[in-house]
Amino acid sequence: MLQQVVNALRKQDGVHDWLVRHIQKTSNQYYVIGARPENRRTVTSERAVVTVMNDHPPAKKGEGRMRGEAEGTLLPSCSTCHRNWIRLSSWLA
Amino acid sequence: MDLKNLPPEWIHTGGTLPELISEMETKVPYAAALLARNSGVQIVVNHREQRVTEIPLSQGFVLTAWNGAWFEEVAGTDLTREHMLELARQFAKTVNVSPAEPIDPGPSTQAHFATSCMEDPTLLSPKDKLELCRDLHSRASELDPRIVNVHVRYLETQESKAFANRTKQLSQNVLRLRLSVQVFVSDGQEVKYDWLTKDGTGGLEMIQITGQELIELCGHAVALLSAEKVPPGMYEVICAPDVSGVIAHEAFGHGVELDMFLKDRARAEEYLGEVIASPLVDILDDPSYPGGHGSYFFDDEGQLSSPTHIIRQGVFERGLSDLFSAHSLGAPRTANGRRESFQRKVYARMSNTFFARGHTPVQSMIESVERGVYLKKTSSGMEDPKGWGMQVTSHYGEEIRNGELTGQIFAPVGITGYVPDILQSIDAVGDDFALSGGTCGKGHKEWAPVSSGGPHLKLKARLG
Repeated sequence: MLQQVVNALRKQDGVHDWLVRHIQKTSNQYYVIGARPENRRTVTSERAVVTVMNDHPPAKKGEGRMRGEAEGTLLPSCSTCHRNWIRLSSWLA
Repeated sequence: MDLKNLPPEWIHTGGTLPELISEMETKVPYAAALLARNSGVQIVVNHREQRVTEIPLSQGFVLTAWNGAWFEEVAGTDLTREHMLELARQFAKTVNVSPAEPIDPGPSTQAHFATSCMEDPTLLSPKDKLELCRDLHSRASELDPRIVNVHVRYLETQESKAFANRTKQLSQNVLRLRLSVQVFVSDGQEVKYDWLTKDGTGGLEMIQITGQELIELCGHAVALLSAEKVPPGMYEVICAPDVSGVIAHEAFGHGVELDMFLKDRARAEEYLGEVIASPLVDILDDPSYPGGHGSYFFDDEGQLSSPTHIIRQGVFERGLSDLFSAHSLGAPRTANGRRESFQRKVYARMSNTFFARGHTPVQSMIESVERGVYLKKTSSGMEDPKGWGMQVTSHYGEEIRNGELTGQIFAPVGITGYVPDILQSIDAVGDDFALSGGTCGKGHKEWAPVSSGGPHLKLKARLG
């Protein structure tokens, strides 16, 4: 998943900088009422949180360049939408 | 289940759900599977910033197995058919089944549901939605020179779910919108604020804010600059629907969630079948209420939405259940088994909770009050299901003298009392009705969209 996102980021115009956090978590949850179990769960999750930065020309003469930023979450089951999201985020930033 | 109307990445997974159930039920007496996805966008515009942010995308599955005494679950984000089938096989093998009462999977049902809307916000670009917020911000900012900031917030969430057990295959798409404008005013000494929120399940037509509503909002905020503290004491009180709703939700509703009965955390358990309120009072929870912010078509355990009459003519009739609490207590199931996301367990939770409409015009209520306060908006409320102490704060109220509103504003106004005393003091129920949306936390700060409201109520309470 991580490599797919990185490849899409590298190919997209308007993405001047980026940050990807690839997060994998496992959680074991055990719920009891007094001594009586109510629910036991195991949750595994994976996601990428992507920050895209886009540099804009100065708004006024004499000012420096402005940097916009957009952040979003991508999931492994959504691999087809990674490219579209990155295109949209480069506009939002 | 209508896979073509669900998220595209569910096309293969959704069809797998019945297979997963069959696989698990070779080992366990009852199994269920849920796919859940939540996404959305938030836009903020105020005097200092304009921001468009994603509601973090959440998508995953839950496989549930009944072991004869309690539920065991595995959940995750890998939705590939092979992974889920293998996981279902391995998971079912690990469940230690003990003999017990079977779980009823409910009547055979296959259906797809979707929120209906006239103006679909998902057809607009983020830029268009940002423009709507900028326009609202601009219109509100120009209304009064004492305005020092206007905060506009737009929230759009799309929730998709697919549920299956051995008799049911259900899917739903729910679209929720919320638009709020908060106006801050200053007289140079202090800053006061008021807000207006519109919300619901539906399209943009549900959240239109008119110029007249903005003028009234600004007027309320300015009036707060000269507000006084209410002299403490017992008053005749008229509650606007927003305040009625907080009484229904916080003061009473949390105490009738049946998982609270299992934990011995709710005094309402002692009052089942007993008179608890004035005979004028009916309180319902209804996830099927059209357009309600807390509406959905089925809960996270596959129970189809329908209204639950909690109090009927003053008598506490039944509570709100999830599957585990209903099974453990031998109580009827209601469609209130809700989880924050696939990452969390189900609890018994409210949806749209409200007092039923009555017959008294609001003006007649005001005219019947000799000395009292008209409480117009809630700023906070706190649950106390075991002690049943009422802890609600109204953002402001207006004095009533000899049947007329005097224009004197009190702010803030604390409302305290013992919940049954307050419910029994209700001597008029309005012929109007409104719901206000929000989110409700339970468990480990696990949030779910809800609404509460009803008509105006006339009652007696201690204010301070």
